[in-house]
Amino acid sequence: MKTRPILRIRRPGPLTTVQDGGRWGYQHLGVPVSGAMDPLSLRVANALVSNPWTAAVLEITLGGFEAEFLGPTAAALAGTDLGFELDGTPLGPGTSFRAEAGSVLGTKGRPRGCRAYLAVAGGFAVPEVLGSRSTYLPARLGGLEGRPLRQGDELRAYGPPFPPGWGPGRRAPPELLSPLPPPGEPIRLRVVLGPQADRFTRSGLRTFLAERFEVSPQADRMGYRLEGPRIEHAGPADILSDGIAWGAVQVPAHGRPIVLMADRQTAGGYPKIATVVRTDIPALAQAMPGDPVTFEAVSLWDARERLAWQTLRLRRWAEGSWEAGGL
Amino acid sequence: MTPAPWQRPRILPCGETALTVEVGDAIAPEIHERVVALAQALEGIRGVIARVPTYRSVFVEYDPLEISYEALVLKVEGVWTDLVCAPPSVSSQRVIEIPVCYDPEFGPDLPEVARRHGLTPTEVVKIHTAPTYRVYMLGFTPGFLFLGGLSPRIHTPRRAEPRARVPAGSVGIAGPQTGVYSLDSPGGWQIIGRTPLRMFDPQRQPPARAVPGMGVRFRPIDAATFRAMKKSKT
Repeated sequence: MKTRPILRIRRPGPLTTVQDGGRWGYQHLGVPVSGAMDPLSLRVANALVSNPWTAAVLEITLGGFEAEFLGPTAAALAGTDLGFELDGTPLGPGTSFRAEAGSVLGTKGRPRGCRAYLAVAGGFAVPEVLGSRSTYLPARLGGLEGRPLRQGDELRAYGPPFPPGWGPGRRAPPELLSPLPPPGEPIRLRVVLGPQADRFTRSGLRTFLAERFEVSPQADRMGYRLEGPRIEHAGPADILSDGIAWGAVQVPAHGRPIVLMADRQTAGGYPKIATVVRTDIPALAQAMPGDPVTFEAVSLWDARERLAWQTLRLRRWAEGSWEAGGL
Repeated sequence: MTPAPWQRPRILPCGETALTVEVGDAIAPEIHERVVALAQALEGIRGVIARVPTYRSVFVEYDPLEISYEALVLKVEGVWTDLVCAPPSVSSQRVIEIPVCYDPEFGPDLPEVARRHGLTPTEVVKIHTAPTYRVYMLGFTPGFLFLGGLSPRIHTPRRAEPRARVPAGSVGIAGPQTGVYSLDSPGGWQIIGRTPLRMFDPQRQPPARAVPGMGVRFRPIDAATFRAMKKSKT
């Protein structure tokens, strides 16, 4: 496919990687799924430039980022607002914009939240590895040579720079912007209990659902360790290794939960008390060490309805038909 | 009594996008055969994204907007009934051979494993290369093989101090399991040898050399053969 030069990295910040919708279908070979940590913001950023929802974007962590555009293009940002400016003009979160050759995109200030997504028309062009362009750092798979972006890296994009009918200044509606709760309020994560809720005592389950936890400094693309009261097991804290879902809350012998995220291992031997529902993954993906977290049990059907509703909402908005009369 | 699959599967939701189908509660070939057969039989169902066989369960990832939980559970139970009524033949297990150099250079823990069991390193190698192992699952790193069937004579606990870097191809022992490291990674298994084969290569199709259910035999090679094979294969 034809590609064009699109972006030169001046400062990558602490961690910038190429990510897409994930490397699905190789888990039986032990290959983690990876992909954008915040799947909603990935979709929003891509929708803002009329890309397929899971095209490759840049996942930018915590700011300190600066890059120069190498050609005119439609582009968009979603996820947390890292204080983005285009040639010194603030852009705001969840917005489409037009960049020219030589335009400089940078971050400024201290963010709330953690991850932003930069999409360009056509998607970033890196080789597909096992069906995905996502970077999985521990095995150096995908992305740009399997590594984080560095100063001087030059990226390319697929296809034409401006999709038909595209316009700058389009904004995603607030409910599609991975909202974090007001400062000081806990991030409420809905969970479906299981698959191994029966490996915990009643008191352990009560602790999990009633107490407040805190995101520990050990929070990365693989998983978020939480600090807080000890969740009591009923019996030994290991099981025969089995498959791990996105958002699985595993509790090792020390009794503190770990929520498994995009780079989760494919299988593991700790009991999993619950699974965070897919529509609440974005809020956790944006959480920072020290942020308070609580868990609330919902039914599998409730979780499904939320996902269906969010998907429909996203599609209607992307088509531009929501504003013109809703569903 | 050898462990057998349960009469009925135990289906456990993992959120609204995945479920685990438990087949039994032990590490045993009879149970794992059902795991592999079930994973295969669930191929091609609309909405099913991934099927991951592990020791005694199949993890099924699905798109709940394509297939409902209820419909998927009914499919799994239907497939289960078919498997119980007409089990697929298991005589045709594919077996691959993995050459391994057991020299101290590549198997730094071999002397310790031998000492612990009152054996010589040569005896350990003989015991390790005798059986046909079963691939129970891949995981930990892409392509890492978890193998069952290790002789109880050389069951050995993990190292007290895990290593920061175990080279790709290292063959190790952890309790009743033996396995092959697919990539350079940290690790705590007792390393007794190394294969020159590249166990995982994303550019190759399929990228891993073995899948769950396959058989693996280890063939001892000397250091010169190891180096020659390493050179000829990337």
